[in-house]
Amino acid sequence: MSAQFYEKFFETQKSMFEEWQKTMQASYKNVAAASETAENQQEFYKKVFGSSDDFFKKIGDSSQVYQSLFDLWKRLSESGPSLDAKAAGEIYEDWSRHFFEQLREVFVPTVPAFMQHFTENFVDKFESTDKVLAGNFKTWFTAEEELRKAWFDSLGKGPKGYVDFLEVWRKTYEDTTGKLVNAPTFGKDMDSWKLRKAVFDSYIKYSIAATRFSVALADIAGEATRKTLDDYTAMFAGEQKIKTFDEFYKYWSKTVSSTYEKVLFSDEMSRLAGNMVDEMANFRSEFDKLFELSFADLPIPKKSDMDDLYATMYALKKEVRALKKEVKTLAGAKS
Amino acid sequence: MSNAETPATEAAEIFKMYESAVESAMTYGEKLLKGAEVFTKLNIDDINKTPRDLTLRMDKVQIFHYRPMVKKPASVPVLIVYALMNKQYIMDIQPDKSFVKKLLEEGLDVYIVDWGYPTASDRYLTTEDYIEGYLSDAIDFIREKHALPAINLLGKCQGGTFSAIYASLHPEKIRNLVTIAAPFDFDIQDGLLFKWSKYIDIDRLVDAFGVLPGDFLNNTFIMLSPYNLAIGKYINIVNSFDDPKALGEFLRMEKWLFDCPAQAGENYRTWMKDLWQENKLIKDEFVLGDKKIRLKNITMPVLNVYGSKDNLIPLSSSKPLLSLIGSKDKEEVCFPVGHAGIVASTLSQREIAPKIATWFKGRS
Repeated sequence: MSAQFYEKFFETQKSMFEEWQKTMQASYKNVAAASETAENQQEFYKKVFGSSDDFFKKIGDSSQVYQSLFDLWKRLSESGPSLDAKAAGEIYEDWSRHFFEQLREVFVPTVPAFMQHFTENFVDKFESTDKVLAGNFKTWFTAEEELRKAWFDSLGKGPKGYVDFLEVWRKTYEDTTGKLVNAPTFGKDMDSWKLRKAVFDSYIKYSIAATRFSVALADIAGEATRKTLDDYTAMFAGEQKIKTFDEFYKYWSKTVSSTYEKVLFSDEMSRLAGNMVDEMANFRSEFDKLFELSFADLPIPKKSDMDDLYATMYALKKEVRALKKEVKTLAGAKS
Repeated sequence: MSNAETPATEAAEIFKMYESAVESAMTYGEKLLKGAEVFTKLNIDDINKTPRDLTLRMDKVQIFHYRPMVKKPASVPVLIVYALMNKQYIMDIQPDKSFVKKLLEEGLDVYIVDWGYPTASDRYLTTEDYIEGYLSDAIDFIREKHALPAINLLGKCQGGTFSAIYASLHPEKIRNLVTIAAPFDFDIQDGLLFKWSKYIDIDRLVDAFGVLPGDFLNNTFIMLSPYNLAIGKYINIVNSFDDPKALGEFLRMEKWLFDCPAQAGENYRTWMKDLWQENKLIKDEFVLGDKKIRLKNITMPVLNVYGSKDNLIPLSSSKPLLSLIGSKDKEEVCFPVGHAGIVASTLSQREIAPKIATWFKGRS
């Protein structure tokens, strides 16, 4: 059995999994359409996983992480006796770029559903610097060179490089577009324009906070993987060896989990998490205000109208409940 | 290094590694294929199915009475008060792990609060509305129905904190109090949620959302153990794809985990700011409506149950209760379980539910 044979086998296995995933999704829909029981079951899965498709996607996404780790292990084990810290480091650097992408796909859904597409859109835009620089924010042309340098410097540095770039990006935004956005507004559509700018600004800030948090999460996994590799290399040179992928995976997942447990408690991660939630709330508030203003002339109630109504309902319900109790007490006293 | 350069022993070792990897990949593939069949036949509609009757409805809140399972159930009924943040059916997750069913089999007469799923119209509900409104009305309803001056109260997690607050305000209406995995001290160092909650601007969050989406809580709970809860368990579950029992248990638990109800904003504001951020309850500084809460006013018998593996509400948060109350008959017991396992595990069936039932029966 050669390495080529193995690779071919693994490719087949991967295709099989993808086909299985498609079949399950398709057949699940067919079965659901066929009987009421199955429809109920479909509802159940929707309740559990968002939709049955999501469930299989979760399994699929996790499987990608698993397979990526397998690729890492394969490359390490192929290195044989030539494996040392330097070689392991090179393999890690190469592998971590793809791994980070996979983790990000898994962690983006950790923000509430209604915010996810904002985050995803942002990340897409963020990666396409040409689009960001030339298309969306023309005032950034002056900062283009610095940003390009930061972007290229960040390549190959993994999640940390991404955060470094983000920092330059944020600063550039605040010095250029951010100034324009936060400048005083006047004129005919002053309120609308002011809100649009506030939404844009809060969107940028939320996106940065969310990206920082998810990058930090992925970074923790990266660091833990690095540690696993160091341990693996040390073990490879010594008596105690990790012999199978199963052992490698278990060792890695244990290291990742325990690293998360430690790092998540840090003040820095707590601040990142808190900042993400705060910026999310800001963006939501500004977005709702703009939404209301945009639909102000339509014959439909706005959220603030409904909130007024809910407040009145709440007060009335409370009053009725108190009065009912009073009547009951009085009736009891009478009898 | 090419195969030609590899010494024979090294080549043999690598070959062995590949062989084991291929073998496990094949097993993985087989499991997936078998799983397709298991999935289509799986029946998991036995969640929350212990026989019960709806006895009281107040807005979205419902009080259910379980049908007794013994001829002469205990004369003082127990009202189970679950947290607002998760659903109470974890206590009846499946027949062989149903905490409620076990309590009934042990001879208790059991009621349970289902807080419902708050929607936008519930944004103004306060903590006072929940405790002095819904909970208080439910307790009065059961007292009247059974013609009793006091009933037993069993609170889980946030429901335990609510129950203790209620018991401190109306000690004459509560015969015995049991709290399970309930937070009391919020200024602890070993709980991630306790730490993170101090970094969030709660006013900003509540003002923005009104009613906090259940999604927000789901994702917060995932953050307690991001690798295991977002990735690891979906890798591991493939190993059980061909096992209907294990897969069924996994899916039931998934349903519960991702079923966090939205949170009424005003209650969430008080709960998070006064308790999680400022730890007012144990300092006798917490005010509900216009009433100051003093846990020392709790004088009925109290049993405090918590888990040593609980990473959501660590025992350091639950444990202080007994030192804060005025009861003379008080007991605490720690089991090696986590936050869900304390009411939905083999151990909870074998030891925890029987312990609580015996404790109640001895005092009713």
